[in-house]
Amino acid sequence: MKRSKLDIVYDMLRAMEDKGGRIIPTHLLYKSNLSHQRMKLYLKELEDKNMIVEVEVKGKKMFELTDGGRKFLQNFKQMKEFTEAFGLS
Amino acid sequence: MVQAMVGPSWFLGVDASLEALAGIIALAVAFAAFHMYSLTKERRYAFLTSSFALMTASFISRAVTDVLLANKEVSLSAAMAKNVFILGYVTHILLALLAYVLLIILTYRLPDKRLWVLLVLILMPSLLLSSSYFLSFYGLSVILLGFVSLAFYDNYVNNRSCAAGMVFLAFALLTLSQIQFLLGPLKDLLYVSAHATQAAGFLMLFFVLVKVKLRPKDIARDEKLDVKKGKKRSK
Repeated sequence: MKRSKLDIVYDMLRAMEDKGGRIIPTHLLYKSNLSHQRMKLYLKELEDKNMIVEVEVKGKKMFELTDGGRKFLQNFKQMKEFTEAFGLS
Repeated sequence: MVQAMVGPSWFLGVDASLEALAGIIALAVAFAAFHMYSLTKERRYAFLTSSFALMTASFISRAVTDVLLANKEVSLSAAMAKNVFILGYVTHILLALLAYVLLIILTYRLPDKRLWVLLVLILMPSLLLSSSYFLSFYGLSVILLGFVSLAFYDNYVNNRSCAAGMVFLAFALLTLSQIQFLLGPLKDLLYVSAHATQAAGFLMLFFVLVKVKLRPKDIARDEKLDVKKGKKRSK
């Protein structure tokens, strides 16, 4: 089934959360199942919306989940369950 | 004709409070649905928001009417009381029926707008040509809410989630309450139990909201795990 934009964003943020809030781009690419080009577009959008920030840890480029990103994850889980409860999916 | 449905005298005021409670809970569901709509801009959430917003207006209208007519401290002239009576109850009936029709359109995913109009057009004569608006209203409500409950039951069978089960139970209780209201003229206590059942139905919806808000199940992750397990099994 084709993933919606929200599903893709969720997968990316979830991957970061699973890795303790920080992830290297290669792992994110693998976890989010996107092409490099599309992942770059999503990362830019997530950074613009303050859901993630780019950080450097021990010389490595990483992406870190922000409070905004965590809030989105929580909202998304609520939305999924609400949608399922009322049979709207 | 609008004829009042009145229970025992000791229940006056309690019924208005329970209707106000139903209105407040419906408003909470409408807000939750609107929050989803603001995130996604999807029509399904707009429909759910509209339906529960209409229910809110309907129940508040009825509660206010009940308070105005039952409260001896509020003195209304006979003509004024009649107008409040008709306006309040007719508003309650029309808004509630419209809310239930929206739920039917949503749960059965009726795609054609002509079908939506057809539903409303069929409802109107059943209501307007009746000798008692209230009895017709409760009869129509039983049918509409009964079908909505069936759709929510199917949803529960498909999902087997606790929240879906609670939504089904809530609407089953609301349907049961409308049957009790329908039979209310036969026995005063049925009017009381109808209000209690209706309040229980709305409280159940409130618990769904609390559950989703406080401890949302990670459905998206569960779906992925299911897919992975399925893949492993097929290998």
